[in-house]
Amino acid sequence: MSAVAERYAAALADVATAHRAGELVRKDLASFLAEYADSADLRNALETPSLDHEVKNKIIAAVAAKMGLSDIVRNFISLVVSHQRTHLLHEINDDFATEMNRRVGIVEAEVTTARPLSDAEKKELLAVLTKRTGKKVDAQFAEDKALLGGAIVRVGSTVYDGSVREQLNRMRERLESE
Amino acid sequence: MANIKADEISKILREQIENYQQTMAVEEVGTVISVGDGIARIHGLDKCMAGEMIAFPHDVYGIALNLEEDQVGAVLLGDYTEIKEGDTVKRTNNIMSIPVGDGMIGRVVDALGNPIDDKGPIASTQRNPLERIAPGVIDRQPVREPIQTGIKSIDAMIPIGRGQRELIIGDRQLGKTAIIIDTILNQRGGDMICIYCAIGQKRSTVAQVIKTLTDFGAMEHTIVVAATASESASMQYIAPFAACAIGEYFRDTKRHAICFYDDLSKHAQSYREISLLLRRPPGREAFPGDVFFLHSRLLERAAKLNDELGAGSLTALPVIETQAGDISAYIPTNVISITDGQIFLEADLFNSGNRPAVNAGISVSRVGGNAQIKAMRQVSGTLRLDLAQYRDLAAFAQFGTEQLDKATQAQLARGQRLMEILKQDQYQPLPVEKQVLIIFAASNKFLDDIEPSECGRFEAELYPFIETNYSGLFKSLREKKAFDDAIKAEAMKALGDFKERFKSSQQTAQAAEAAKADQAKSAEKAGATA
Repeated sequence: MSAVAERYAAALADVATAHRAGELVRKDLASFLAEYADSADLRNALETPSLDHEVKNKIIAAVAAKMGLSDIVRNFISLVVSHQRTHLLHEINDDFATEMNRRVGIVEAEVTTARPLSDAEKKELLAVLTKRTGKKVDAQFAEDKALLGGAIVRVGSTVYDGSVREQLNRMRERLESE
Repeated sequence: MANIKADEISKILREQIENYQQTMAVEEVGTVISVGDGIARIHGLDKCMAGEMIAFPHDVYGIALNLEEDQVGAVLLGDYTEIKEGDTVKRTNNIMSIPVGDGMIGRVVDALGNPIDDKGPIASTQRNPLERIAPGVIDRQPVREPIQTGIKSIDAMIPIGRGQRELIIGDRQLGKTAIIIDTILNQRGGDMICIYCAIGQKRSTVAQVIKTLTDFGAMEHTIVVAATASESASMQYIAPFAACAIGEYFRDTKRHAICFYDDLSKHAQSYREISLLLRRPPGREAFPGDVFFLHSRLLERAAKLNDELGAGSLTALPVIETQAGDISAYIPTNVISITDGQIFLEADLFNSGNRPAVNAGISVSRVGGNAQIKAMRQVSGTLRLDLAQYRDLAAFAQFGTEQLDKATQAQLARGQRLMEILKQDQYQPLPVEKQVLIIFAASNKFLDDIEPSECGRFEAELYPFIETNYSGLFKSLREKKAFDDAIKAEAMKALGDFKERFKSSQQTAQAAEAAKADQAKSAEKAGATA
């Protein structure tokens, strides 16, 4: 959502691609974030203004060594902490995933359907989406009974709405306007 | 809705079901991050265009004004109280446009072109974009036909041509709107379509204007576009562009239209409000940097098209309200420099009874002279000069005129009478031939020996006299539009005749007055002796 998070994500993606360590960085960052979310002590330690950077860096180095994090991720976290942007870490993580996907030509899609799809149906849907967008599609599936039938696919800010609910809405609009 | 039949419904439903697979809505959407003060910030809408209409829920639309890296800033049109954070908004792929057409004539509409006058829906086939590039240099030709405002001081000294942009500027309550209304009234029976755009005015004032126009039968050629003070800043911001889009329809269909923007100071203020809420940096008087462009692009759309394009015209008469006569404030100087001249109204003139309070000294019309009819040019040539000299002398002669030489006194007397005949009551626009005749009378010394206080009566009685006794004079002036020797001679003769009669009636009136006074005196005396 924020331009700042995108900047950090893009920078991290640059470094990760340069070292051909995209997958590693993604995994390490995710595991650090999980730890960060779990441990209130860690959060407090990194966010408190009463500790200076030296101490925080030592903490980060110790945690990274214990978790076996790569140097890139360790340095990146130190940077974010010293810039006082720790509250953006989750957002940066999301943006980083999007950015890495974009670089290798994958788009993210959210698929909402009225009932769960079988594997064959998912495969068919993905094939259609790939054809339509011209890129590989990484889809997240969700369910919403209110759609009544059909599916809504969201790719970036474009929405393909083929749900029965939308059809009915449009039918109503047309009847009202006549 | 009501007159739809059951089988039609089932037919539509059947079609829908048959086409079920083909119809998939592809939309680009965004999410509302924040709403407030008529502004919405939206995340998403990556491909949104500048000025594009955006559809919000609950049938509210917005215009995308700020396209930023990660968000879009939009102004909301209409009732935005139901819009919440997190609502989904859609692109419409349309630049903001409003319905235009002949059906608009005689109607009162809001800034979106919706009727607000209780006369049912407006049938229109065409939509014009609000923002359009003005006609190019090649598409235009010089102004050549006049617009008769019906106001003597304007038609004689500050003539306005079709396709011109003439600013009306002055403090509040000096009769700026009165000039507009008189101009609209004077277009009755003509080929001119008037578009009155009220921006940020009181609803009561707008209702009053509409009532006046209706009462005088002037709504038949008029369209009112109203964005009143109670409407949001965004509606006030687009109102003049809407009026201009409506006017452009007539211009482009080979007709003549005139737009009155009443007033652009309020328009600038509403634009300032929007800009500040969108966090654009403020400049002088807190107006945004592009407030000049805001008005210049609006007024540039007034044009006289060339003959290949049909020679239609759109004239613009913007209004600017000044504070205490300060024309060097930001917005007045901007609009003065954009327009082809200005009509300046002055409080001192207004208060001393010279209404319309047009200051002939600093009012100018840069192009209208070419459009003036020849007869008017012939009689009004020296008018400006005479008045200018009179003003200089009048200031100098305020403490008594006894010691002045004859020539100066004559000049003063002439000026006084000219000022008198340029006075005109509201809602009484004069046809151009009558204007020409009275100015002709004044410049040919017919008024020099008539008391200034009697000039009004002289004028009022002159027109019916000419109509009954010299009915051909007005007709030939109207048709030939110029003074040739024959018309000149006839006018001199007619005026001579009338003056004689006027003088004698004046004398009898004076005699009657004197007799009355005598009678009263003697009665008093009788009473005293008794």
